[in-house]
Amino acid sequence: MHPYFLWALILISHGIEYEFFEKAKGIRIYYTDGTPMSFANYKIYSPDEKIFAEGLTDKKGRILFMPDEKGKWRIEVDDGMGHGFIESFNIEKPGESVITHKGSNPLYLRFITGISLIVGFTGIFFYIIARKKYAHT
Amino acid sequence: MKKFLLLIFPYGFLFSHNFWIDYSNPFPEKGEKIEIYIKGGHSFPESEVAVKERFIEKFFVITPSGKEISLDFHKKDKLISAEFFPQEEGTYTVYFIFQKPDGERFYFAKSYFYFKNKTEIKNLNHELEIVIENFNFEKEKKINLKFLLNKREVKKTLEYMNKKEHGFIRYVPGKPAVYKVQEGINLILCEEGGKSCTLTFYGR
Repeated sequence: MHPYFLWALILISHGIEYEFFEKAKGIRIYYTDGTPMSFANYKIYSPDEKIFAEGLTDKKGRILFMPDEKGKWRIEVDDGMGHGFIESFNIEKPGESVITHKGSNPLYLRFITGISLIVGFTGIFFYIIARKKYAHT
Repeated sequence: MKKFLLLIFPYGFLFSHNFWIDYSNPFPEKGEKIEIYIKGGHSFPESEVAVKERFIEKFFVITPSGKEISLDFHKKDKLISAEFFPQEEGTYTVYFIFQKPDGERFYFAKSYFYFKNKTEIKNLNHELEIVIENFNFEKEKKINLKFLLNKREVKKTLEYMNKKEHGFIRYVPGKPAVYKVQEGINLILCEEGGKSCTLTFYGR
């Protein structure tokens, strides 16, 4: 098989697939005056005390996640302005995802992308070689 | 009854932390380095909270000649600290702005200090700003305070804290709120629409 096609196949293995799903667990956090605790740091720990998720609450102070086991989970939130909390909560029924939509980069597009990248890099390589030869002469 | 209500209503925002500008030495001598702080918490003038650095959009000094210098800051225990060497004689303006990741600015703080001579103080035309008139850092002197929302004068209850007392004064457009400067640090603050602003200065 021509080397170009081998490299294209290797590049295809780094494609992306995605799923949209429903029925995640959600938490909304807000201050006592009703203002959402937006963009606050959070960490969620699974029952075995490992970090399961971390990030920032969204603009409305919300976090969504999909717990995958029963047990006692823990959340830590820190708004970076001196407010925060630590709270434990029980999950009886781990979230059952309902996949509503799937997608990925189409196979032919990934193949073309792979070939394009190979051609592009090869072109740059030979351009540099040619410039060096020209400079030398 | 009106005064009683005036005291009660503003306590809603006392539960959120305040942030203000302070100094290691508000009256520096020639060649002297000063540390400029962003302090925070409920125990003014002590700082309890160092705000997360990702919220600090701007932390600047404006020199008497109008030059804006960005301060290189870092967390220092329970506050944010930056070093500065004043070179020009005159009154300096220091300010910071806090911003959320989505670009919303939610905290505006301003402060004044002077080096050797006092010169005209500058307003910043921020979204929220407490403005002073007749100010020269002298303790026991009365100054006029105004509150501007998007450069428009708007009525507002201003909270103040200093070494002597903690209280509220009412500003109404056309009738500036009168405040008596106290020795040491003076803090004026208020909130509007979920955003806060503070003003600090030292009296001597």
